[in-house]
Amino acid sequence: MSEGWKDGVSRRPLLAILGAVVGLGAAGGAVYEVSKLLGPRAPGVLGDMLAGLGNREDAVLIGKAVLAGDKASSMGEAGSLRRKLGEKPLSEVLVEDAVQGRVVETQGWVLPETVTQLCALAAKAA
Amino acid sequence: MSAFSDARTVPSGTVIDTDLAIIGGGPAGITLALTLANKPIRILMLEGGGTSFDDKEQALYEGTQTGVPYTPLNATRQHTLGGGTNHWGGWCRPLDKSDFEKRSWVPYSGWPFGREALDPYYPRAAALVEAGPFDFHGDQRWIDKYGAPLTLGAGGVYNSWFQFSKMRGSQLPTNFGERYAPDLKQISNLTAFLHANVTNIALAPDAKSVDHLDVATLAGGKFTVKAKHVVLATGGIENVRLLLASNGVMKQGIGNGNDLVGRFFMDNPIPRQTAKLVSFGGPIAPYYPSNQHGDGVIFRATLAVADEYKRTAHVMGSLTTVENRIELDNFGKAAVATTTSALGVDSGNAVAYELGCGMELKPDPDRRLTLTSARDALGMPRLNLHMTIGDEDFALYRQTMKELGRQLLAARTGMIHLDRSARESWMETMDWGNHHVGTTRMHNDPKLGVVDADLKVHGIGNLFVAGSSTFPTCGASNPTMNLVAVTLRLADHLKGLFA
Repeated sequence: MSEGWKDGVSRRPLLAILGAVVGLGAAGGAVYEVSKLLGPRAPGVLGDMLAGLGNREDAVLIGKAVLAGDKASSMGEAGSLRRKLGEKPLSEVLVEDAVQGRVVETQGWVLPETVTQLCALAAKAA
Repeated sequence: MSAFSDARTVPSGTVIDTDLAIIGGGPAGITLALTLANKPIRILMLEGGGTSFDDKEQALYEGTQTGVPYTPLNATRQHTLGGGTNHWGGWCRPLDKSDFEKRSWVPYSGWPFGREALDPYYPRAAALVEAGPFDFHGDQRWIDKYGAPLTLGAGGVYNSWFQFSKMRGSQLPTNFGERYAPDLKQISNLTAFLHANVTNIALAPDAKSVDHLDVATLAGGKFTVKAKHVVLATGGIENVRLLLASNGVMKQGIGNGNDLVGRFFMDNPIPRQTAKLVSFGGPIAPYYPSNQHGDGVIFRATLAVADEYKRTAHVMGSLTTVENRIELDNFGKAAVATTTSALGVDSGNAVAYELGCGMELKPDPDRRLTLTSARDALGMPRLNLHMTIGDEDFALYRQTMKELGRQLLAARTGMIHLDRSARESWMETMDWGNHHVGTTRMHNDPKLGVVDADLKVHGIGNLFVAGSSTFPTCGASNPTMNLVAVTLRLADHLKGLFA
């Protein structure tokens, strides 16, 4: 098998997230570019989700490393991510990630899985 | 007696009779002599070195090496009264309960007795190495004085403690040779020879007992010691050389009928800069990055692996230490800022530290000492050490560090960066504890051990081995206090033999 084949498969979950993001925009009556949807002034659930990460540039930097590290296989489906964050505060979700062993290594940093997922979204949106 | 005897003054051809001969005047040999003091037995201690460093005596320890880089054989030990305590760091911590267990994921693991067999001896061992009272659970007074330890979420890593052998000003920790020389000189039933190198353990023709010891000095003298019982206590490297070279009756060497002597050499790798720890709440208690003093105790915190985590995650022991404070690069700062923001934690006071560690190696029969054709000044064959360290050894420690990172996140108190991944990277900063373990391993089955649970060489009625060479596995704790505890247990056994 080629490396490209493996890349294609492992990135599918992330593409699903991005597809959902675009779809959300379309359902809102306008096809926004993802970057606009997730920009600093972007309204809506996803914008709120990323707001918890603090400085967007930092999140993008982490997210690019997540994507470059081919950690896309750890990406959750956008809907479940949104549901998860809708049920409890982000901080609690992250603690639960850690308690449950859902941590991901990104450039050596051990991060809660949800942080890496959100940062990956931020990077894709940048 | 009032002084040590100089073996160089013993006329060649002399035969000395004694009840117990102790070969070696390091921490094990001295512990035995101190413990058997003033008992109704005659003890003879034979130390190859003197009371101070001597180049020619030290040169007897030269050897060759293959495999991964390791400390030269004449630098990793010292041929002077006091042995390894001439240059140890004074770190003391008992072995963990799990260190004694048969661990399914650790081939050749399992001591013939459990930690409980040593528990009665640890307080005395701690006193001999001049650590504080035997309390390694963290005294509340230290915490009250210096602050609370790191808060970790439930998991595989926990806060534990080292104690240190006393340091007197700028002096090194307790040197058994210096510290106990006055005591040894007061022992009425002890004769202690310096510069007395045992070059051969001569077995009786039936190979079931030691008949006598051949002793030589660099001055050219040679004499004989006949003893009812013999304890070999020359360290985890030299014990091997003497057993293998004593091949007059057993051609493969004493205790080596199953080709075990010299195999399973272990040390604690000490890779530097293994990881970074970020404390969200600011500087951590000072007993992590440096030794602190309290109520006569010198102590330092360490991050240890819980026994249960070893059993379930199948990792090895390790003791992680917090080292110096560092600045993070931009990516690290971004990772901390993003994570703390998401966790709802203020990162304004966050600080980062480098971590170091002492690891436990898996036993490897190919990590071994063998005799070579080269000879030292006394005609003894020199040794070659073939050193190994497996990729798995690094990977298992890395897994433990990742667990620590998970626990810090769960507690919202910090996070971890894993600095090293590839083998080459680990080896860049590799140091060694110079702990010589496992080469005359203990096991009840002669096919799996050189000595039995009483440290008697299998098949030889009156020959015992003392020291960390008898440890089947090394754990992550430094060996000196532990080998003293094991030696105290041996002393009790010997008392029974002479009763």
